[in-house]
Amino acid sequence: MKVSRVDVSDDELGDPHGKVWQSVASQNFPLVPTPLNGNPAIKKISPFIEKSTDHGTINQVSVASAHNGIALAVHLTWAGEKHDKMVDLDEFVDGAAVMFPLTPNANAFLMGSPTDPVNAWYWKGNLTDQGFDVIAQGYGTSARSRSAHEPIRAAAQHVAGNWHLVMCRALKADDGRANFKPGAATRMAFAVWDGGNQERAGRKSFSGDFIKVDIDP
Amino acid sequence: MAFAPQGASKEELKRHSRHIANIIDLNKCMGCQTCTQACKSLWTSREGTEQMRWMNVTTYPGAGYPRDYEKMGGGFDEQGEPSPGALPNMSDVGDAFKFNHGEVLYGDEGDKVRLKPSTTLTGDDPEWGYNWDEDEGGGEWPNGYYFYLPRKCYHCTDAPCLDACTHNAIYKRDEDGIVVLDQDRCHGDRLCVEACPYKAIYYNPVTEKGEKCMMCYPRVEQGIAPACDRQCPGRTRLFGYIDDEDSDLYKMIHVHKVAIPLHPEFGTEPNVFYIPPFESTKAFAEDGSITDNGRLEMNVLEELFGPDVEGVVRKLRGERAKKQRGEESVIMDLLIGRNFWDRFKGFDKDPAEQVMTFRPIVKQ
Repeated sequence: MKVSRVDVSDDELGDPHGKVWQSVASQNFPLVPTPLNGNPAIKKISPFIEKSTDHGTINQVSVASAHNGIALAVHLTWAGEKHDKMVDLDEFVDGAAVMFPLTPNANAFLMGSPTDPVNAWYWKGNLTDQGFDVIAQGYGTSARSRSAHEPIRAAAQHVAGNWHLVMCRALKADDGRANFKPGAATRMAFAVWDGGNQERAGRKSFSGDFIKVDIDP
Repeated sequence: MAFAPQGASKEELKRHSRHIANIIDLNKCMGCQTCTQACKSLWTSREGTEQMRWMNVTTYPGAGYPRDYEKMGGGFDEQGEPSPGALPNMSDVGDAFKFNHGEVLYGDEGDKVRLKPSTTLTGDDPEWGYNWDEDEGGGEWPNGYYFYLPRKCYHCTDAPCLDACTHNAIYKRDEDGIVVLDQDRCHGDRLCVEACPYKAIYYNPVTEKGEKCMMCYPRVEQGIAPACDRQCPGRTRLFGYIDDEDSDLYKMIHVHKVAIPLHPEFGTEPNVFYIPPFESTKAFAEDGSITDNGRLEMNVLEELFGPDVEGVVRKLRGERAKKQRGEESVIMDLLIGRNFWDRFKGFDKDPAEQVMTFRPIVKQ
């Protein structure tokens, strides 16, 4: 997979139905339920979530990515019902995340470690125009980045049974978040939450280990 | 542990040097909801908390609060394995009805329109609410019976909410074992609500975070009993350190063993204890005569307190009989509680004379 160089405005890059996305190649990635049940590492963090077995209903995500020299955008499409409001106290919304390693040895399965953290862009279905930069140093440690910066710009539309989501932010970050250099490579991993299946926290579908992604110059 | 790093073990989060506890005497509770109101006006009048009753009193037998919480699961099973349960909805937690005050009082319609509640989520006529089944109770006519059951967070020694949280947002305070929920770390995932068998954690839909009783720790830190305990007009409550051997609370739990936990089978070691109701109105026989038997059957109490309750009830009846014969009974004297302040040993300061401050939490 690669991040294509495109000459469009940030606004078009951030529009899930923007014309630019017709010309950027997308790739399908299978998603699997996160391995919670019977996982000793998860049991230490939450012996209750370790009992989860019915999560991970979304089994594929289509991904495209592009940059315009200033901002990098990731476009995700997946099939699923729309849950974008928490009307009652026992309801959850859909969500999606793209994760990047912050060191060469960072592990996607446990969302990094204290020595090898990860950065994720996280969007949840009841947020209209923004997502969050999240830093994690291991499963259960994810927290919104505390440095002052622009939030992840996010736009999502649900059309004909599919979510179309774009998350976008500046290529450059010198505050501990992922930094993207045109002409170099990065790695990405993906996760999707089906709110209708009460998915949240570690109860989700994910793409497994990081996937190498070349960034066009 | 005071405030552990995010990667801390569950053992570290549960560690505490001392532990506070409560006793509630169900023989004296009259269901007046003064405790509920004391808590509500102090802690849950903010936006998103209107439906919450961290302190609540319901009629037993009855659905309880949140509705049918005993059937929702949570806690640990007989093998000690975690057993996640269901989540209560807005109706289950009693809702926060809206009323047409404007229409009735200011709309010039007061002689045509009656004051009526509507639900928060749909605006429909409510079909359930807080204390919807108040005073219905159980038993067959003419031998109906009920008692009141005040409940709050049990600040469990083996708190399942703490185990469940993947972000270590929940921990026990080192100095008193109070279970608190850090709002900065909470992601609103509600795994704690699933895990709590007493359903004593509530979801705030505005902040999208969990909230719970924190035993009025800003009061406790200054030697003042929690608001629900202090405001109880029935002298049903005791509050203090569970290891304070000079306290009435210690004596009732550890020496006389007449205060017992609710649903011990949940396996969480709760720290709010109850004096079980040991007498009930005498039952009618089929011919209409009054018998010597109470209407409240032992199996009803065993459903709540487990098999130990029978011995406690027998002991309490025996102690009362001593008093009736004019003999001494230390246990009855403790239950009567002639001195209100003895019931809050170490926590008997007057809140009106204290300067209330929140101690800042030092984050790591």
